Amino acid sequence: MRLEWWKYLGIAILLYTLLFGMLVPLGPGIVEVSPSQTNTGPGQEFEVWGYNTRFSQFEKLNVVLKLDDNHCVLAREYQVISDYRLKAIFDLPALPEGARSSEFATLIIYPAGTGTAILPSAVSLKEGDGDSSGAWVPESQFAFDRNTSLHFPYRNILMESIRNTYFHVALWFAMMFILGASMVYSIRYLRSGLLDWDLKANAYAQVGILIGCLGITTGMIWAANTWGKAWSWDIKQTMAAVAMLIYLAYFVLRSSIEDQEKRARTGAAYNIFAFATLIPLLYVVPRLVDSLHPGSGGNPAMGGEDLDNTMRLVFYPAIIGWTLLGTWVAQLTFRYLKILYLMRSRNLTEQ
Amino acid sequence: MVRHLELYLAHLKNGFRSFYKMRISRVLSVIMLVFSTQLLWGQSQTLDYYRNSGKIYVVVAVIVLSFLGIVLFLINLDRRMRKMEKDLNQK
Repeated sequence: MRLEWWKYLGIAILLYTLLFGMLVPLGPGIVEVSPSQTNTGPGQEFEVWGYNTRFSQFEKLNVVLKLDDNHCVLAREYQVISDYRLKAIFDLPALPEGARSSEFATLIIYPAGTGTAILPSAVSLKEGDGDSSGAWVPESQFAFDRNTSLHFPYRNILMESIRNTYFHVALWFAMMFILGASMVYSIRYLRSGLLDWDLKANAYAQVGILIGCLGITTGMIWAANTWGKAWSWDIKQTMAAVAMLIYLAYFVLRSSIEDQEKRARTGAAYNIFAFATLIPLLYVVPRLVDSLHPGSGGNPAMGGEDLDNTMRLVFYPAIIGWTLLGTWVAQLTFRYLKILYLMRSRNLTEQ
Repeated sequence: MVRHLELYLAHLKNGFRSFYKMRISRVLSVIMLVFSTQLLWGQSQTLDYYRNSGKIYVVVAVIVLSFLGIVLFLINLDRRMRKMEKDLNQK
């Protein structure tokens, strides 16, 4: 068989994605700090719950509350209860001049496991009336231990489900490539009039929609466990559903036209239109409105905050892997459609 | 082109004869799919649960669903092809 290698490459890449994406651990993180609101002053006690942390393995932990780069304070003492739990007592100095009446402080613990654990906006600090015994120090006083081991970043709420980036998000990227290919085949059909191109466009659209529907359902599972609801009429969800409906209309349109050539021409024209609406629906409209979804409400999805370099090692191959698998399935569908067409034209089937 | 088709059709006639009872497996996979998503949506969202599992089951469900979706598509394609072959064998 000619040029079969890419199919096996696709499977190999997906296996790599599955293994690497599931086996690499998350870095340490802080799940919760209690209380989350306190007054400044001496002897403020906090209880901290960690995730993937190994508090008891280290002789000395640095437990730091940070307002900004120049205002940090080290815990006076701390008590490790377990690998995942500790109590820390801070002598909190008065809020610096120019601060608002209450300020959010970031909690940083290092070493916490295979690196540093950080919880942004962990505690809200209010000006207290007690004596302020401690003093703010700049962050440069602490030599933060950068996490060099192989790990994915820990994010609250997301936690391990950050790995869905290699499945849910990569599926959407693959869908764009497959539907893009479908559109290219439609253009080729309109230019040449060869029915093969139309059958290919049809096959690729079928697989593209399959992947899109998987993208929506996997997104619903993810949303149910992070946003709190499977379907919250978020702009990204809604627009994705609209895009799927537009593509479903493509198949309805095709099946409603009897004449082979007319069906191919109308279908091809509609397919180009459908792809042209897909881009604004998925990538433009959600950015203009507030949304829960990353990449919406103005913030870029693939910015530095959502993907780190370790995740890129899996994410980019995952896109290639899903695209190759989708292409393979689309090719099979095309071969089926072609045989069906040839059988029909020789009256070998009533389908 | 015609010669190509004839070779192909001959291959189909002699080829994939051994089919399994597909209907059962299809119904089963749909039930499994619905059941697994229901389970995830119905779970309690207490902090304790997440502290233990870190939401890893969300990832497992997403992977299983993606795999099942593609497999269901292939099963459906298989069914369509079988119909086609049946027509071919009758004529």
